[in-house]
Amino acid sequence: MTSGAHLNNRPVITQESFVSILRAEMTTPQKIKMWADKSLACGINQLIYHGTPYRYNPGEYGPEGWNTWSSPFVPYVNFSTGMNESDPFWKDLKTVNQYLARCQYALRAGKPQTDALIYVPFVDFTEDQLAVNPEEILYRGYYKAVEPDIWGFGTFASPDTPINRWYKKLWAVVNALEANGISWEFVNDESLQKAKLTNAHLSIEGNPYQTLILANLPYINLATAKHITALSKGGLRLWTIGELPRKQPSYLDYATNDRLASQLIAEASRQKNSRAVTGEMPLNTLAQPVRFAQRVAFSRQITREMTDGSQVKFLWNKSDQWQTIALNLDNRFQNSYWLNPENGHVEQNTGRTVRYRLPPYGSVILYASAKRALAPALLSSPDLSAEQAQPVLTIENWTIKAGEVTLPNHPLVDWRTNDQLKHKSDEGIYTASFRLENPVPAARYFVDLGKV
Amino acid sequence: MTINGQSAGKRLFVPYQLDISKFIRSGENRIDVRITTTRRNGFVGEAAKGNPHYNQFKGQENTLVPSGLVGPVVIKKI
Repeated sequence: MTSGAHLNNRPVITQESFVSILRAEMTTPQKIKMWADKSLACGINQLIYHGTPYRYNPGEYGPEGWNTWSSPFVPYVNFSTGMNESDPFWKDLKTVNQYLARCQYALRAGKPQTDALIYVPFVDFTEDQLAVNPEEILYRGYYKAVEPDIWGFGTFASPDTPINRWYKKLWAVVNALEANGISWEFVNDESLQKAKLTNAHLSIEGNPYQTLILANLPYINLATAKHITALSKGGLRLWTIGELPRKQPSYLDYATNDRLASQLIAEASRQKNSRAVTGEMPLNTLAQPVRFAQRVAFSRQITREMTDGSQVKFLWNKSDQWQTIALNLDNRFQNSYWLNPENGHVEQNTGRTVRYRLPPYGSVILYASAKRALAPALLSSPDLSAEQAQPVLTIENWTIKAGEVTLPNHPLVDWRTNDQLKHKSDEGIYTASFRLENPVPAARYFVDLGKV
Repeated sequence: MTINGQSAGKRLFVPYQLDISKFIRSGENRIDVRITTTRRNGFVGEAAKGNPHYNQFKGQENTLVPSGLVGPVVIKKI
């Protein structure tokens, strides 16, 4: 969707968000952030809640009232999230939305900056095609290692279709691009047939792209094949991966046209700027003002570029571990900053290689400015993190209260493992004490709550 | 979270860590943590008891979500 919007110069790309089938009453702020970050890193810049309905209770429901997407009268299916004032996390939503708003604001600056276009010969995209990517972490809204995996009405495993087999191979290409910080988008026949060459770049509706990737194509539209061949003769940087297509999708004069499509793409692949990629893609041949200092396995990102050459890059750590992102900035940038969308802090960087320590599932925005320096009043000191802090003591014994249940002198447990707590949805109130003799005045002390 | 009755802040996202430097004292300290939970486990429990308002959660005992503070809760220094 975002590829189509970018190709057609749509500035605001909206997504109905935070909804997955069979996942009623599982939504937390952390889950909202994960859903959002995945979408933001794809180019979405306006997130709309699946629903924030008014509170309504004619007596047919529990105390929380009517929920459009989870009803006792439609018990075979449900959805997340009916977020209204009856939800336990409603009180936190303003803070969550501040995070979302900061991200959206940054990702509406300038225009998308995309290095590579990937030709897609198909006309639809469905969620099960994501499932065949081994690096996908949020398929069906399933937050692995936290939530139960639920199958039922409306869910299905990815069928073994030619399209899914194609996507399985394609994701390896996409994952390699992401791991190297290369921005990419899909392109369809209609847009590709409008493409021109401008300054050796592919240009579609005024948007420049450095390379076109044809990967393992089962077929190619004849008109598209003709246009790619013409562009390649003019200097298009074309990367072909796997076998070249030998067919086109139409029944009309299929034998003749299949042969023609095959000949055209073979001809395109022989031009001087064409590369048949058999191993690593020649990614270092792409100009990147902001370049990953090293390949990483955890990152998804999207880049926007302003008219003065400044860039905004949203980076998401999709892993459950702390990770370091390191970026090399070229000389066009006079200043660069880390924007923390969680708290609004802006930290100034020094040097041409900048680093940021991302928490598990954390995100950060790089603002690399070609001209302007931000006013000092906007800047913050680097956020202190407990990650590098040394353990002093562990608090073992707690008094745990949830509703009418009180567990004195109790170790911490997942409520599912305790018969008195497993069906509780009350606020958990934890109380404990700890001794700290003569804390060092110059030191900083943290509480790390661990798993919550 | 409060330390000795003073608010040390709130965390909605990972990592669940807060700076408590301003609130600690030498000797005994008290920590209070309030954890918001989702409604799912309670609704599944109501359905198991036969409450018709939660029919959609009937037989969903194996789909409870992690809940509560699991820790370990560690005081750290830097």
